[in-house]
Amino acid sequence: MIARREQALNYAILIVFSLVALYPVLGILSTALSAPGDTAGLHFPSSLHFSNFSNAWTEGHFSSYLRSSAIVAVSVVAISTVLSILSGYAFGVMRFRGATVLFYVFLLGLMVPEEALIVPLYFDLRDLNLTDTYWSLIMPQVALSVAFGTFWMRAFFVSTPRSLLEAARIDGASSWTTLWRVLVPFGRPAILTMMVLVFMWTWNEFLLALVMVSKENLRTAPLGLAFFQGQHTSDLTLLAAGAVIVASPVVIVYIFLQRHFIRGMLTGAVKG
Amino acid sequence: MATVAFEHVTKRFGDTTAVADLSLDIEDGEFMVLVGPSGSGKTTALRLLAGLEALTSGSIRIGDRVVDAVAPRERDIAMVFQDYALYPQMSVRQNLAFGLRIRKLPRAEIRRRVDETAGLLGIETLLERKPRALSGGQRQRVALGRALVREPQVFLMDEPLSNLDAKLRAQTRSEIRRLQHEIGTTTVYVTHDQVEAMTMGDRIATMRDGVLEQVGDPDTVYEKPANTFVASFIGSPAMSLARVGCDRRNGKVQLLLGGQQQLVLDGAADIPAEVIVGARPEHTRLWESEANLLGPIDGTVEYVESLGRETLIGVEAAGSTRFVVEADGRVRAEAGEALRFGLRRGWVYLFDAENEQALGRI
Repeated sequence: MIARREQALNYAILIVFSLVALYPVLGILSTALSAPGDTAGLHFPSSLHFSNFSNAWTEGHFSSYLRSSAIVAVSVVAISTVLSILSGYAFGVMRFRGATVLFYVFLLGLMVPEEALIVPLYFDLRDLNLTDTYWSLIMPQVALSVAFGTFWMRAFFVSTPRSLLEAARIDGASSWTTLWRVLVPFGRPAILTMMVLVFMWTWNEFLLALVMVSKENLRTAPLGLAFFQGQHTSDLTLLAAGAVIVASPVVIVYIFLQRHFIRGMLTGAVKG
Repeated sequence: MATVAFEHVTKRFGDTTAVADLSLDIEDGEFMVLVGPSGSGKTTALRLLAGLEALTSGSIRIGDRVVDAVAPRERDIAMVFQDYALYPQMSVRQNLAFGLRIRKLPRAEIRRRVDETAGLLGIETLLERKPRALSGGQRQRVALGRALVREPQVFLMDEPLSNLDAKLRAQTRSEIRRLQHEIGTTTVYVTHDQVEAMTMGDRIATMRDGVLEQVGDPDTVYEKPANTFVASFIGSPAMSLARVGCDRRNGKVQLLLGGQQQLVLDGAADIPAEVIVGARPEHTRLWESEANLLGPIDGTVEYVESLGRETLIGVEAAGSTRFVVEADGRVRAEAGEALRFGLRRGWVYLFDAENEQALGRI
């Protein structure tokens, strides 16, 4: 009986927490579907107004913002994944002089807040004529993501059975072949998890886009949403629809990869 | 196929010496078993031969070639790992073919060799499966197959049977032996299990604390152990060893077993004042049942193991030494009982009490 009561209590606590987490999300969704000018907040709309989305889409230029965000996020995820796998492999598997010190240098990238770097970074990139280009959004975020990615992939490579590497070496595989043909397929959950996390962070990045980019057509979705908010402070339904549009790609990516995501998180938790 | 030679090989990890001045010649086509307890340096020796660890000093030859600075993939060896180390995302066929594909063998040749090896091991039906869909025994076969398919000069096996259950282990033991006979490839096999060592090896190299204690064929190692370590490590149940004093009177040597007991030796052998006496269970018999025994020795029964064909009786005697008496399967005894037994003449081992080296048999 104790077990059953404990289980009920567990569920009760979990339900409370999921309600806390879901409340604002449901609030936004219901507002986005309400008639324009309707009360905001969590309520059941009297009729569903999907037109809010199309209005927000055209008025807010979200097609342009989403395109920019997609270009930046996909580039950052692709480049930083390749680099993180390579550096994680080096730190996790290879033995070389200065590995520990170098690894701490990489970790520094995790510890220094972006806000501390952004002003000097702006001047550096301006000198290079890179502000107001995609590069000014892609390169800094690749650098930040590689710090985390190296940390993450190193933990994975350290936890892979040593004999697997040795079997590949004896089978005649070079380090390169061992990495791409044995370890990367083996580490797919960990790699996909890293990709989802980096995608989420890149997609939601606001400050960097705000500082580096002034051209309308380069604005990323969160930045666009902020400008959109400035113009439509009174029309909450339109704002909510815009917020849903901006958030949905991350949700979709997560839903597609969640199985791997959870597995990757658990691998990290148990072995990393 | 090739010979293998360790020449004064030493391996240190920081302050610990894992392998100390190991010299060992392995003949072409020989099945050499490295055996010893954990920490004896046997696995390190194998890894040195594989090239997975670098030598601290000494030299290793495979065939005529010194391989000290040769990468594992260029040593023309194949290894079976304790945990099999199959590539989890590849099918069995891909696992077997991986090494061949890297060596850029023609497709048809790879296919032929994989099929042939699979046939040899009876895993043809498993070729398209992934390792996680295989049982422990099947994985073990695939691991073996991955080594066989390469047709290397030397097979290295690191406790390949330790993850199998007892019955499967016994089966696979004889199968590996049979395959090795058929193929004739030089094999170095590491195990901590002396039964594997005895049943599989052409020769056994017994190691302790990084030092090679004795090399020889199973019979020699069993019947003429070089020291007390080999004597007690090889053989199950282990040889009983008792430290006893010697007394010379009237031209006869007496071994003082503690209490009032003594063994009178006929031949006044040239033995030191203190020795270690050793006797294997099959040479430790009930006093009544056999002639030609040294004794009698009186002791107290500690435990009884009835194995059907024979009964093993653990007896405490000669101070606190435990002897194991092998008796007929129908013999029954109770713990706590007094028991009288003797040691078969000609099969009582004497070791030097100081350096523990064998002095001979009496």
